[in-house]
Amino acid sequence: MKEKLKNKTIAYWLGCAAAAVALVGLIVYGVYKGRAGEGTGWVFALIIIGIAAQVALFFYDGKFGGFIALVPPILYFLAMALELSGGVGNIADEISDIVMFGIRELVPLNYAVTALLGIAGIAAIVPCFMTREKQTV
Amino acid sequence: MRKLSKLWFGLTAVLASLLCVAIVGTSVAYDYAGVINDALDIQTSKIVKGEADDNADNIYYKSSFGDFNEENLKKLEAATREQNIAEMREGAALLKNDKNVLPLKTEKKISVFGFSAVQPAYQGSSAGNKVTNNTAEKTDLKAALAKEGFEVNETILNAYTLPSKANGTIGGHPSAGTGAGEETPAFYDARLTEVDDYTDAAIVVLSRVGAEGKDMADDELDDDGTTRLSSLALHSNEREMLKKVRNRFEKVIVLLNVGNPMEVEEVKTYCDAMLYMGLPGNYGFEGVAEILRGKVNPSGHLADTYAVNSLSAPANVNSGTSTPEFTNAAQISEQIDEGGSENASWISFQAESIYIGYRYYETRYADAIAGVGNASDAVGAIAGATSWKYADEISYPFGYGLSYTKFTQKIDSVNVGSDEIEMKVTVTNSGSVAGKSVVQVYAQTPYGKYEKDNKVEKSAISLVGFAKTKELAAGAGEQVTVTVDKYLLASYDYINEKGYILSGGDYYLAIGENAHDALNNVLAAQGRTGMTDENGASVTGDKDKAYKFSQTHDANKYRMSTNDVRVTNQFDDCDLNYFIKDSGKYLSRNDWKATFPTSQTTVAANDDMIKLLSGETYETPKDAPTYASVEAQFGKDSGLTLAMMRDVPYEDKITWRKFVLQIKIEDLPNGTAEGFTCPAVGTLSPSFKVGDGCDSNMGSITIYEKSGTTRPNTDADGNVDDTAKVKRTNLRYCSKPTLTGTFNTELYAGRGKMMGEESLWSNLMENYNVGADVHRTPFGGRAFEYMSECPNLAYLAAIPEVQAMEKTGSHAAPKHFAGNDQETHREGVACFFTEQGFREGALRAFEGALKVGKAGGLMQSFERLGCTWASASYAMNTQVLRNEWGWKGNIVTDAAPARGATNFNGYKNHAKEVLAAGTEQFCLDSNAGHAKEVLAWAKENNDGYLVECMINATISWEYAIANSVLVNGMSSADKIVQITPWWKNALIAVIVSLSALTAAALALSAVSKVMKEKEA
Repeated sequence: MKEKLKNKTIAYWLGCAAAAVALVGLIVYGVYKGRAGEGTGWVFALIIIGIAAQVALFFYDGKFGGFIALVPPILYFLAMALELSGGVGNIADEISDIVMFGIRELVPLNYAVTALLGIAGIAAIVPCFMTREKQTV
Repeated sequence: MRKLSKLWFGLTAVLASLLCVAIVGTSVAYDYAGVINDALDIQTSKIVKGEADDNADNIYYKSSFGDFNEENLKKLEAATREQNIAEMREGAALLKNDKNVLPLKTEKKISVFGFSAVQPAYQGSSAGNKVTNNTAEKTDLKAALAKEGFEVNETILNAYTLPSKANGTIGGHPSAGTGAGEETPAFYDARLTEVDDYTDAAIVVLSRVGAEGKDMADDELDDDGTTRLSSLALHSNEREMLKKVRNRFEKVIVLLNVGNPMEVEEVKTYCDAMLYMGLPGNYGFEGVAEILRGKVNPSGHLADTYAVNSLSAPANVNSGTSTPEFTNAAQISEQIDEGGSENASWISFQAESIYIGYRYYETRYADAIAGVGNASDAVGAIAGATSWKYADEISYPFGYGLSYTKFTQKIDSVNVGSDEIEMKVTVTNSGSVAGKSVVQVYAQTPYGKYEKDNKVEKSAISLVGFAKTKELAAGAGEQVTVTVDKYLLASYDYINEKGYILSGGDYYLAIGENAHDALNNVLAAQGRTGMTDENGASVTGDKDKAYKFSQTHDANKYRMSTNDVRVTNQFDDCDLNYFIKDSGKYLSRNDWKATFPTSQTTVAANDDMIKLLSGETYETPKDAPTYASVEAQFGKDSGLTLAMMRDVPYEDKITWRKFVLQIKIEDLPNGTAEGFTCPAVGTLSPSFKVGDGCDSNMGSITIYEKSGTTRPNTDADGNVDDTAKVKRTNLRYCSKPTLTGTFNTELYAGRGKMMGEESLWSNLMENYNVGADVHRTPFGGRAFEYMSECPNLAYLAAIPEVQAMEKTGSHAAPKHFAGNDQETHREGVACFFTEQGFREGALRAFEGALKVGKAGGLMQSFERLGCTWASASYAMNTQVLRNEWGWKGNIVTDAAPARGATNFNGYKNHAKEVLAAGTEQFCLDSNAGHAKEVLAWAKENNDGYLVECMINATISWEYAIANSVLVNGMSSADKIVQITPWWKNALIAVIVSLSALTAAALALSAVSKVMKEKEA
């Protein structure tokens, strides 16, 4: 375990930071849903799977590691898109100053989740361009 | 390549992420296609001109301002502005004017107080264009006063710090729903040091306004941070401001910039004059200033009762921000509400029966005078009272309004016919200045043994007619005629006759300065004594202002509707006692003490109720045709075009059916699709816009550069080839209670005409503009856009407005049909009531606009009638609206945006039930999501009945379209062609490209990885 910790590069830890941000996004999305916010439960699943993939990379970053590393950013962005899709009615009402499509009081939460998952997604993309474990000679 | 392995992986991540976003985004864009098309000004259909007689005049709906060009647009602008100001001139009600402090004939230098003086509620927050401090085309209070020669103390005005939302980009008035927001006493201490010589008079502006989705709070914290009170009560900061201003100025005038009736009993003590103005829209302040200056003599009257304590109304106990939940709300949710949007938790038991507004206060007063029904018992009386006294309860009665002059009114004659009663009244200006007077005619109908035995409740006084004089010079007179429809004297007997009855006994018609005055005149005619006015002063009434006639019990007169359909109970299951015996007690004047609601009514919904609350009630009728048999009828070209259908009556369903069945069945859902931009319905009709807003048509009028008119130039293929030259935002008029308070049918018609003209110039098929819901309590969040607490006044006032608008070529579509009288929990609240209460209240308020005025469309409401959503109520939409009233318009839900299967689980998405109930279009569903789902279900379940419902819906829609401005310029040879918007093609191209790139990047990632490993 200690060896693995030592062996991880900044790229891996950046992926972990992305997972942490996604986790915060997950919690905020939970609050949003708790306030009857429109949206799908798939957002929870996608974020959790993304985080799980990042955790998996701690233990395994072998032959398929590059493919596993693709999972978090894609799922974070997919979750972000689905979350925005659910919140678009709220945002439409806020922009138009009407009460028709959604609950505009929830817009700050929509923006917060979008920002968090967007940041997580970008942060998770960067490690895909990099090596996540130190090269052994 | 192997060296680029990380790059390929990184690119794959980027491209795949973008692809995900693009796919979901495209899905959203398709769902909101109408909104996008609207924003991008994209047409989704075009008209291909056929060979027709070029000389034929196919501008079927012409503007009364002439051709649709820039020059005439200016005339329209001027006329709408004049209408707006005239509404305020005649709708503002002078409530107090001690020592004739008004008008301010010679006063020049004045000071203005109250944060609403600089941040007024120009309107409430709901649909329609908004006036804000940033709006250039408006007159604010300061400018209006300046226009009348007043110099306003700018130091004081400039001291107000506008709230963060002061410029009104979001949410309108900063204190919507609350009475808080006034500046602190310390602030006013500082301001009073700045008065300088601006001491001729002080004007204090008090404001209250609700919002869509937000009732005024029943209970909130006062500015002092400790006291709890209602939002309509005077708040401590306001009190301190008034006290300080009172102490500093000899003349204090209060302006009520309110959308809801504020509690003003205490305010009276701090001012010399008080003027109800409501919400002014763009230019209404000019009318206010003209009244203050005396250029205009006020003639408005209150369309609502101003109670000392707004919470004293019996309707309050179970409504608004105090609405209770079912006691088993959690169980209901667990059983039917997996998605969390069935909204089935809330119950509003309308214990008040018919006793809303003055119908409660005046009836209880009449019974107190007569000493019957335990009316004087302390139950429901103001806090601390040992008995109920009218003067303790009321600040200003319904219909109240002073003038700068005096009028006398005398009944000349009354002619009681079989259907109508004609009353002639001579009005004489006995004062010294010119002015207009309103003749208000009220009725009292018998409340005897039959009524008591059968729970037929009666208001002791009800408005049944009115007329306004022209401006009468001092000493001049005019005879006006008021025609009363006897239908308004009938009562709905839901127990015995199950229909409308004319009670047997003595009837009284009376005129009066207001509802209370008229009642006192009736009481005088009955020989009663002990009457008082609203201040508690002893009065005798005037028996000569009342007319008595007799009538035998008649249950047949209105047995059959005007559409020759038997009128009978339709809403038995909206009575809580239908489901759970003796679970709800309705207020009865037979015993005020025993029936006045003192605590909330709620129940545990039983299984039958939960089944209805689930919304899943549709069953294919046994005699339903098969899907295949109905489908086979589509796609038959009958050669009928939209312009040809203009003259085809609605009743000619054979021809209309032929017209509709020309399309492919796949296009049928668009006949149920409504949005700000509605889609083309196959080849039947083009895409078009509708308007929304009771006091303002949302949107603007465009004059195009090349065409020089309101319609863009098109090329030979029908594609738009033009750009906007002039855009003029549609006006915001005064709030509805102000317009209603004019009691002037010409101004009602003027509103309909002006909004109709704006719609005509904007090419709007219809506009959801006549707000007819009853002010069930003083706290309703949208009281500002509904007319009155009196359903008869709404009935009468809507008729001229609707008829005038219908003449323009853009349909009036009243909303929200019916019973949308609270905003809190409006989505899904289960309302329980007596059929009498509903028919003589919520339904009566719309009956004028729909049955008599013949509005071309309507928008429904959000609440449940009993356990059934209003839009899924067969009783209301088919039995009453279509069958009893014979109404021919189109029926649109309130906002029910559909996003396809992703959120097809809310209480507004039980589309099968909604269509089967007779509802026709889904609001804000321009992608036809609901109907597409229903069509798929119908196909899968071989149900032709629902397809027939959609055909009927499309017929109503096309009937409205064919009889609207949309056919202007179309000849019978013209064809409709659909166009796919460019952005849809672009999005598909993006997805295809990203998919290919992602796949390529992924493949390269894999290849490079393999190569790298081989090398290793």
